[in-house]
Amino acid sequence: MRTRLKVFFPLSILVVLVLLLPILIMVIASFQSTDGSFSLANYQQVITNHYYLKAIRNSLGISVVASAVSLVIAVIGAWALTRLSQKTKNILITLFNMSASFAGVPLAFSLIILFGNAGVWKAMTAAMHLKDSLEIYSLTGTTLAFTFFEIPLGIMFLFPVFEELNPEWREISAVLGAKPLFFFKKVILPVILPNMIEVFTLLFANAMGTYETIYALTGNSIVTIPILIGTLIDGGLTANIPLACTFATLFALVMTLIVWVGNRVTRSKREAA
Amino acid sequence: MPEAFLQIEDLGINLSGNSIINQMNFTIKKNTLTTFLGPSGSGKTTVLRAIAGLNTQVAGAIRLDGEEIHALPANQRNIGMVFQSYALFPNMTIFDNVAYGLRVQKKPAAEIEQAVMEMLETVSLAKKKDAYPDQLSGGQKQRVAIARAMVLQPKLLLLDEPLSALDAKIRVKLREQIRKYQQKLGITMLFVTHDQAEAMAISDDIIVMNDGQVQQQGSPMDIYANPANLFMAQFIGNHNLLTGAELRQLGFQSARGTAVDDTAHYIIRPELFCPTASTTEKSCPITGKITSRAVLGDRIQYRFKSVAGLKLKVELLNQEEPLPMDRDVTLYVQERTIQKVGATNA
Amino acid sequence: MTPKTSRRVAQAIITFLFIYLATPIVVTIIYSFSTTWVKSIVPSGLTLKWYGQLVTNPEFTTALVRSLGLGLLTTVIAMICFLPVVFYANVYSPSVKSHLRFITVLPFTIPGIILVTGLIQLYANLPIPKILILVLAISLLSLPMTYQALDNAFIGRDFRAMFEQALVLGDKPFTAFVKIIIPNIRAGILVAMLLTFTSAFGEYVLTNLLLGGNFETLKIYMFRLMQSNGQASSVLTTIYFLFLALISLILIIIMQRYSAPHKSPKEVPDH
Repeated sequence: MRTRLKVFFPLSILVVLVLLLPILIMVIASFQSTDGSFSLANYQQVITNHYYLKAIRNSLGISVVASAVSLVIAVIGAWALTRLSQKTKNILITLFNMSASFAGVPLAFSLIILFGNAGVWKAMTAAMHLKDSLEIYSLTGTTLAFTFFEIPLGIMFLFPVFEELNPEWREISAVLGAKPLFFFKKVILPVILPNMIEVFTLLFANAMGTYETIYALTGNSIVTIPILIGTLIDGGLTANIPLACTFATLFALVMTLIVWVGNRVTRSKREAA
Repeated sequence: MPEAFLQIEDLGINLSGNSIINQMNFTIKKNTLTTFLGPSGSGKTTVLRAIAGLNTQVAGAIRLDGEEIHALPANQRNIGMVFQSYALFPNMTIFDNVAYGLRVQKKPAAEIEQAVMEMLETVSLAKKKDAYPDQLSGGQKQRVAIARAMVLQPKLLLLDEPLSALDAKIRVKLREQIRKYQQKLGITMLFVTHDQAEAMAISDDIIVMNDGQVQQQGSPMDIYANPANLFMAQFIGNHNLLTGAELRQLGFQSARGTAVDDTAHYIIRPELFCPTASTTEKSCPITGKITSRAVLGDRIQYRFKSVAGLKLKVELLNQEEPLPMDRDVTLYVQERTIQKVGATNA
Repeated sequence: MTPKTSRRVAQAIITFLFIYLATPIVVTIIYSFSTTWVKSIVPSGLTLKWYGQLVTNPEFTTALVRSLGLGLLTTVIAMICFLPVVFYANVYSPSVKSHLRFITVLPFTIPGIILVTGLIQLYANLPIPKILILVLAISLLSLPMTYQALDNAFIGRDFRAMFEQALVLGDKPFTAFVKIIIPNIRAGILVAMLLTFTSAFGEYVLTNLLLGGNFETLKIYMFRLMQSNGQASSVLTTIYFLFLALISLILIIIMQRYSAPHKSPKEVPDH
């Protein structure tokens, strides 16, 4: 037992100091008004203030669209990846991993160079007399930006699942006389679908929590939940940390729930199999 | 028992809240090879790990060579162990693997060199001393693991299913070698296996375990011919296991001179059927049909169905015409060869 | 689809994806070498002067040193926290692993922006150096990566038997860990360290919000340049990209070299 204590000591300290305590304090603060007394006013504000509701709507909109599109592309990409040789797979996985770490300021900057007002894209569309409807600083542009890290992330999550799909299954199924569609419906889908749901929840949660990319791309002009929290913390005169705590508490609660549900889906399916 | 070298008394082991072993007792004699035989999940490895000191959270006493060791940590017990997965250290050469324990004891280099090379000669791997484990075959790896344990001259060497990961042919060869090392170096060995043939082939003594209990301990012959209880009779899978009533139905009124007990179980070993009646011993004829036949080489295995419908396994030496399948045959079983399950052998 | 056509299709898909993901980066790299490139399809000329300007700027060096320091400290802390735990979970008690799973989804349920809210609320007025809190918090957020990479290192060999074997041979637990476990998972440790280092090196949200921009790391510097000086920013982005590419290259080399023995090499046949 003494070894066990020693082994877990550093991790426990870390978790208590920078996870449990701050989150606990955060939850408590979310129920405090600016003068420190208990109140539900913060929560009331969240659901009545139009500006805040718009942030929630923006977050949901960007995240749902970006993660759905990315999921579809990631499924195709992960499938394609399994068809390649082992060596190529290893290299590509590492590259996808890297392009996911490129997210944030560098990605936003690169996209501005490419699609911004002075960028190559605008020059090209102008030269070809095309109507350019892509505005990188808009909601659509932000959603597009998200796909640059959500797609590689999705591929990295889904690739192991596709790798596990045993090619022998298909052969056995064919030997037993099943048609490809039947095979897809009865074998592939039940295995893939729960994983897709889980990966979708993770991509969705990841998009919901993204601060750096949006902030670097649009400043505070497109308001999402993380941007809102950022301004509430950092905003000088408008700073309101208890309110930031309220948003953060709600966020953590909802995301934990969603990720937990996504996790359950795959696990219950796996146990049933 | 003065010659008890390892003595296990009232051993009790709990793993994550479940009682795996409860009040277990057995002893092992010095310089013998004892196998621990039982189906998987019977708790063999758990007991072995307790003896090795890899689990010290156990109740009861473990005495080795007169010394109580049950609270000692694994690195102070002077017990060797060989794992199923070989557990060779992949970052070290074969020589360094075998030298590991001696180096921990801080023996002088020259002494280590000599002891290790001697041991590698014994297991015929001296030429591989500079190779790494990943360059060896499974059988070679396990020989290194055995050498690594033996070089420390442990009081007791535990082998946890050492042959299970190997091919059938190598398994037979290596088990003979293990027996040879044991006899040559005079090591007391406790060998865990789930393979009955393996246990029979190499042991002085067999301890059969099931459900965390010792079911029977005895010589291979004893275990085979005289199962102590119903589990043992079933475990030694080849026997015909009959109830007293069924035995009576076949025409036996007595077994070994005592009247057949309807509620008891009896075994008829398949190799003890004769195609002809004995002239000197009391035999009982059983008539029926052969339903299937398999030639095993030296023997032929038959499935036999008596007139009353009892199915029996019969094995005869492959020396005469095989029994016909199209008509009734009569086989004879000597009354004295029928063994009552659980009877103490007189 | 025959295997051959399906392979072609797969290659086409991957190529397309690759182009899609790489284009912004490639454009940025070209931009960093161009004299000016505004509202035209090709840059007006090529130059290295932006690189010279950035690299000689002391602000750049300071930011780089800060980011490196942050990365190193975080890596050390993450290793101290996780190496013993992952070892323990794999060798002594695999059931511990299911309890550790919560860590792998942590960045999704409590992303940086949420964590920093709690940290500010708790530590804003306490007399504890914020930089210490920052390092600890970044370590926490990089734990999933560290955990995954370390845990992978334990796949493929029976480390439990190896460790127990060393004990039975008379060794003490700590020396057995150093002599038997560490050398055999060194590739995994290296991968874990590189990944942890990378994620800490490029951290932005916590650093910016917790220290209020007073502690200018490479990413924060990059953001500031982005507002003021596009050319310099493109140079910095390119350097950052090259750094990531270098780390990836090292990772690929490690994987090619070490993954083989872990996946049980061609078993030498018995004879």
